[in-house]
Formats: sequence, C-alpha cells, structure tokens
Amino acid sequence: MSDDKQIITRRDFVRGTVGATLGVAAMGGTLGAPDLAPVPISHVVLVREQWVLDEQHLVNQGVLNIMLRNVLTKVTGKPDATSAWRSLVKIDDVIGLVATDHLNKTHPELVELVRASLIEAGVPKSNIRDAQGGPEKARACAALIALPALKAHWLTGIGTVLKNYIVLSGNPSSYHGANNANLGEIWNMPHVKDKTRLVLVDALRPLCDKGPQPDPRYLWDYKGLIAGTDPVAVEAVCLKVILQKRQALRGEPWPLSPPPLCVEMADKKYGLGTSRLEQIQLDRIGWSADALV
Amino acid sequence: MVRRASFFSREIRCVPRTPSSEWIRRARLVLARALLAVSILPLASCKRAPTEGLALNELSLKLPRSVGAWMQSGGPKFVGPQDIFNYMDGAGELYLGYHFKRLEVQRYGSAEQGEILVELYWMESSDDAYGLLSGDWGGEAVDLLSPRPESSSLATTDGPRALYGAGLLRLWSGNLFARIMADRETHASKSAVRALGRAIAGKRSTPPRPELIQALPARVGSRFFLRPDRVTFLRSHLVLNSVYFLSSENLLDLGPACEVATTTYGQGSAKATGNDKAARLMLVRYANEAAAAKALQHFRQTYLPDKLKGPGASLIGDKGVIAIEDGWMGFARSGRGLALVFESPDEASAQLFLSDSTRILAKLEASRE
Repeated sequence: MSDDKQIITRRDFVRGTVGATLGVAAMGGTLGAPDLAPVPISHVVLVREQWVLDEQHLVNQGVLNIMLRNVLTKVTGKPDATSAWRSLVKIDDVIGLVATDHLNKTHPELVELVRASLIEAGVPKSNIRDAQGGPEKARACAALIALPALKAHWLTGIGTVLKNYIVLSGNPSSYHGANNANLGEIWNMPHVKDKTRLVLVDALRPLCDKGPQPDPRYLWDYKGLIAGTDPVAVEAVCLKVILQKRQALRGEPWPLSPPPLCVEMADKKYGLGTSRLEQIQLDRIGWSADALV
Repeated sequence: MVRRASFFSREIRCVPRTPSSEWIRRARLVLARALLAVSILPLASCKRAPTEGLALNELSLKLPRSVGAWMQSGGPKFVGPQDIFNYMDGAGELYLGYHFKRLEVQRYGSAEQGEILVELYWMESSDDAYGLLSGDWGGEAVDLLSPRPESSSLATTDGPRALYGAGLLRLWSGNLFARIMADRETHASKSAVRALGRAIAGKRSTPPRPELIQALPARVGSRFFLRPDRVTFLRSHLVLNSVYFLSSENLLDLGPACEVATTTYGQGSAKATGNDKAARLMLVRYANEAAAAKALQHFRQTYLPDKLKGPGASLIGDKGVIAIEDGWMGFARSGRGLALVFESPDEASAQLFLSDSTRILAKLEASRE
C-alpha cells in the first residue's frame, strides 16, 4: 500500500484539480470526438444484443456467444475468435480468469463461454484457471483476463474494472476508505503488472447505485459487453454508462458519491491508461436503444 | 401495532364483561380475520426484547415457517460484528458505521418461484436502524402496521417506516433494520415479502425518528424547503461520503459517538429545479464540547486552509461564512453541536441557515439539562 497520502476534498472536484476527466467529462464529455481532441489513443468496444436476456433476466448462451465473438474480433481486429485469442495470449500460457464473485456477480455463463472459447483457440483446459482470490493465484498465471461485472460501489463510487483486482493485492481492506483512490496500484504489483491481456466487462445487467448489497431497483438489463485492453479506458466508458443511467432514473444529475477517485488516479498516478473520454474511441456493435454512451 | 390494536378494539368494545358464547364466537372471528390478513401459518410472534440475553444460535423473532408458496430453507444464520465482512465482502462498513449488534439471516425457498432472503439487522438503538433506512428513501412507502397494508404516502409526518421496490422491502422497526428480498418479483412474491414484513414489524413498537432529524427545520426563511427524500441520519464519514462527498478524509471527526442529521433544502418548492440551487445542511452533535471544538478546528484547517490566511481571514472563531467554489459555506458551533451549510446561493442565506441551526442546537441542549 502506498504511503503517500493525498487528502482530496469536495473543493478539489469543484475546482477541477481532481476529477477533470470524470467529474465533468463523464457527464458531459464526448467519446472519441476527433474534431475537438487529439487522435483517440485507446479503443473500447461495446457490444449489445436485445435478446441476450429474457424477461426473467436469464442468459441466452447462443446470443452471448455471438457477442463474445464480436468483442474479440473487434478488439483485436482479427477475423475470428481463435486468431483473436492467439493475438492476446500464447496458447501455452497459464491463463487466469478474474471474475467478480460478489455483489453484482459476473454471469457464470460468460465465464464459461470465455473458457470454452480459449480451449477452442488451442489453450489446454488445464492451463485455464480461476484467478480471483489471493496474490498467489495471479502469481501462478502468465496472463490474466479481467471479467468484472458493471456496478457502482458505495465505498469507491464505481466497483468494476480497477476494483476487480482488490483481492489480488493480498490486503484488500487497505484499499477501503480514503485509500480506494489507490486501487490502480494493484495493477502495477509485480505479480499482476502487464499480465492483463483483455478487460471484458459483463454489462448484461449492471447495478447503478452503490449497494453495499444489491438493490434490485438499481439493476437493469443493459445487455452489453464492454471490452478493451486499456483498463482505465474501459472503466471510464463503464462510468459514463452508470452516470447516464443514474441521471435517467432521477431526471436530474445524480453523481456518484463518493466520486470514483480511483479512475483518474489510475490514469494520472499509476499510468495504466487513459480516463479522458475524448481520447477513447468507442466502437458500438448491435442493439443501440438506450445505449447511454 | 397502533392500527391493529384499534382494529381489535372495535370488535371488542361492544362485548359484555362476562364472556358469552357470542363473545367467544366473535373473538374467534377476529382471530380468523387476523390470520387471513397476514396470510401466514403459523402466525409469527415477536419477543419484546430482541437479542438481549440470546444465545448466538437463537433467533430474536419467531419467523413464520412458511409464507405463501415459500418455506423456510435451512436454519437461520447469525453474523456478529466480527464476521460481517465474511458475510458481505466490502460492505460491512455501512453497518459498523452505525451501532451494529448482530445480523440474523433466514432464507425461504419455493421450487417454482425462487428464493426470499430475510436479513434482520439488530442495532443498539432505534436511531441506528432509522439511519440505515434513511440512506435511500426511494421506493414505494408501505404501512406494515395496518392489518391490510397498502402503500402509504411519503408525505406522512414521520416519513415511511418501510419501503418496497422491485422485490426488496426495507424497514425500520425500533432497533431493527430489515431487508426482505425476493430474487424474482411477482405478484405472489410481493405479497409474501410484505407478509414477512408485517410478521417482523407489525407487533413492535414505533419509536420516533432521531431527535436531531426531528429538529431539522421544515423551512429556512421563506425560500428554502426541506427535501424529505434527502434526509439522512448517520454517524460515520464513510456514510456521509455516500450521501454527500466532503473529503477522502474524516474531516469532521465523525464516529460512533456522533449524531449527524443532513438534508438538502430546495428553493421555492419541495424540490429544487433549474437555477434554484439547493443548499446542504448538516447538524452534528458530538459527545462533548471539546470534541466539537476539535472537529471544527480539523475541518477548518483541512477544508478551508486557504481561507485561514491573509488580511481578510475571519474564520478563526466558532462561526464563519465564506464564499468557496460551489457557493457560500458556513459553520457555527453551539456547545457540543456543530452546524454546517454548503452550497448556499448567497451570504445572507448561509447566515440564516446557521442562525436557525444554532438556535435549534442550543434548544436541544437546554431541553436535556
């Protein structure tokens, strides 16, 4: 855990000292606006399909499989899932799947489809592991696939991509409270650094308010997957979806409280990627109703 | 309880002093109606002093074995303050931010209709349980004390004691906060969830809202009106940040010994719109005057460091008003009480909030002496 302590106040947000990319841009910023900003440097893919969930919110695996294939080919630019995986991982890598196992859990159907898709791409079944848990699990892997589910969190504002590795730190409680801004630090720990090949967010049925326990009033069928190789850019797009949904629910701005400090810090302090929406190119595939971004 | 008592009293008022066969028949009829009304077999019963002197494996309330199509599945689970992080990863801080004593969990299952989860959070005081409900006033207000509970208005004097939405019922009943959640919302599950809510809360007493919450002025001057859907009672800075982010640090030295009532005040109507900026008021009561003075000093030094220096600095006393980035903010200490106003649109309004608040805090203290 980093020792340097930065006290961030509400005034910092209002001034724009902190949150310039999120507090303002996440509400009003424009994704990948090349006329106004430099050439986008990070690429995020949003795939949505109307029929992936039924009225009971149950997953249609056939549709989800097509969505996964579309994500893989669009993120990598490869023609099929096999070549996409082979551009992301080596087939003899030990690959850890890091799904979210509490609050709004990653759909097990998605985890299993990713596993099956990797096997189909030639990765031995025995080399694919569940890597959610302590640091030793990540240490044993050469590559990680982050599989968080999209959700807000009452302690960190958003609890999706960056927070998904909190247990890999070996000391998750040290990232609660004021220290949640440092969640990006975990991604630079030696047993984690540079191992994440793909961030694939389960946005099938996200949770847009803080919890700490799921409140079904804030779950909705978004029916999407959000993916990329830049974890901060993926998180920034996720954040935009959550904020827009909150505003739609209340009919007035409903900012996340506490603000998601970890996202901007992951960019500015830990150099994990970009949190600036204007530097993110979002490719959208499929169902477009109520996309929110 | 009050409404149910009157339901019974209407029936009983006309009976003779000596029970007759007619009285017994009518009493049976009343009992049968009550059983039908709650739709529960067997009828739930509640102990008066929950959690006191209980073994860790003993439920504080006798919950019904079945409700509608749902039957209890498995035994109850008990979670103490030490174990709460195991039960809800990353979420225990909310409950520990109030005076949490223990959690009791009971699941109900139905082969066709999924599961209903009942969580009973026993707190040290009614104020703590109210605080947990006050984190979110969204949902449909439900009157669990009526024999046939229907939706009630949010505009009742005390606000709702139970809120339902999308399969989840949250309720405040004395020192108990409960969550009853169906994993699939159907007409049947909604009825079952409400029936369980009545079984839990229907016979318990209904203490008033926290004193500090009751003291919040309904209006400030002629412009500012309290928004009841933004009223929150809390003790912890993590909970404060979840309703109004102030700082990543605990600037106000909040903790278990503190009481905080906070809400927003809209301008011109119950709900602020457009350019009518809402102001945020916080009333804080510390354990003693020294703690309040120390907290104010901490807040000033960390939140307003740039305003403490220079020729115009006037924030060294117990009361101050200053323009900052998002409007006028002010603070005023009165004994162990501290009032803070944020985002006030002008200086005069900030002064008005503070003068009203310090009068309220002083009055509360005087009433205790």
